[in-house]
Amino acid sequence: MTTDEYLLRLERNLMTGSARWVADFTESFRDYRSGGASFDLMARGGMRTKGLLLSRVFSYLSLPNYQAACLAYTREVNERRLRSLLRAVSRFMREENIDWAWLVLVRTGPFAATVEKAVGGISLREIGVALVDVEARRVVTSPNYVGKRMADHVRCFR
Amino acid sequence: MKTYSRLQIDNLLKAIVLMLFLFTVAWSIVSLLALGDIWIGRPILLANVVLSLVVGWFFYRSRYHEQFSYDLERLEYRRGAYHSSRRWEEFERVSLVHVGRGQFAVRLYPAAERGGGPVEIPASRLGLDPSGFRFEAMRLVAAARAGAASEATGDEEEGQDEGPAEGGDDAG
Repeated sequence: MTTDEYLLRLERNLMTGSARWVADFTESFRDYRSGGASFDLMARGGMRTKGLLLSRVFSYLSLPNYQAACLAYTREVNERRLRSLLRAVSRFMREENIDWAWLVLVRTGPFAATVEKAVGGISLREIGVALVDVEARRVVTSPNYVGKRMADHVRCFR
Repeated sequence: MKTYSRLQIDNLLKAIVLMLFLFTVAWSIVSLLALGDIWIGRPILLANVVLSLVVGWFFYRSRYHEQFSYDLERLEYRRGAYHSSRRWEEFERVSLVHVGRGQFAVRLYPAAERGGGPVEIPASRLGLDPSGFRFEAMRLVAAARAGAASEATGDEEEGQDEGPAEGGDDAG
């Protein structure tokens, strides 16, 4: 599987697949530039799902109206680049009023051990990071709550 | 120009059922006034159905039927009597939008300097491949904007070239 194929699957999974249980990602951009970085994919949406009357009323009364985004990046990443990407995501979240975000780093082949270690040490509350090796079909996520939640939804290799 | 259009069965049925309802109500009123009673027999019902099919079809064409055409320079969207024609260079960003029930649209955001709201092309309803069309729209927008920018730069350069020549004439 190539990174482009993976991005198409991720996009589909975000908009119509399992990720809709987490947030209703309704809009997706490709080659999205924000905060001095260029992301290959940016999908955004809210946590209040739409539906027929009852589900809409239930969603309105019971769910917080948090805005969510998922950004994917497919170029080479090292520790320094990871830090600058996290800064860019934070800036993007402030500018677009996003409450929490997923950052998916996609690569064909394994990530450097230092990058995996850096992701393992992320303690940000609002940003979850996943390293996706499309060749080995391996996913490593940050240990924070948002990161743990994304593991099943970015694992879309089939 | 590539043209995409697809018969929307749901909207066609809506138009026909609406017409059937209106004709039935109209006939009920007419028969009540003319005969003193509401008389709906089999022939009348059959005539109403046939009339609803014909009028419903024209109502659907004039109100709901969508058609989308585009080439390298511009795009045209038609829904019933509504018609909009824009140029790709007017837009800046392209996104794929899930409008519900597995249906997708492609949203075109106008360039910041032009203002105005985004234009939405209902790709799934038109029978387009939404993701593929999104990438094509991105390419067309980028190419049109690059073309427009190079034209503007060319005009400026021509203007600058003309400047000294005019000055030269004056000096001469």
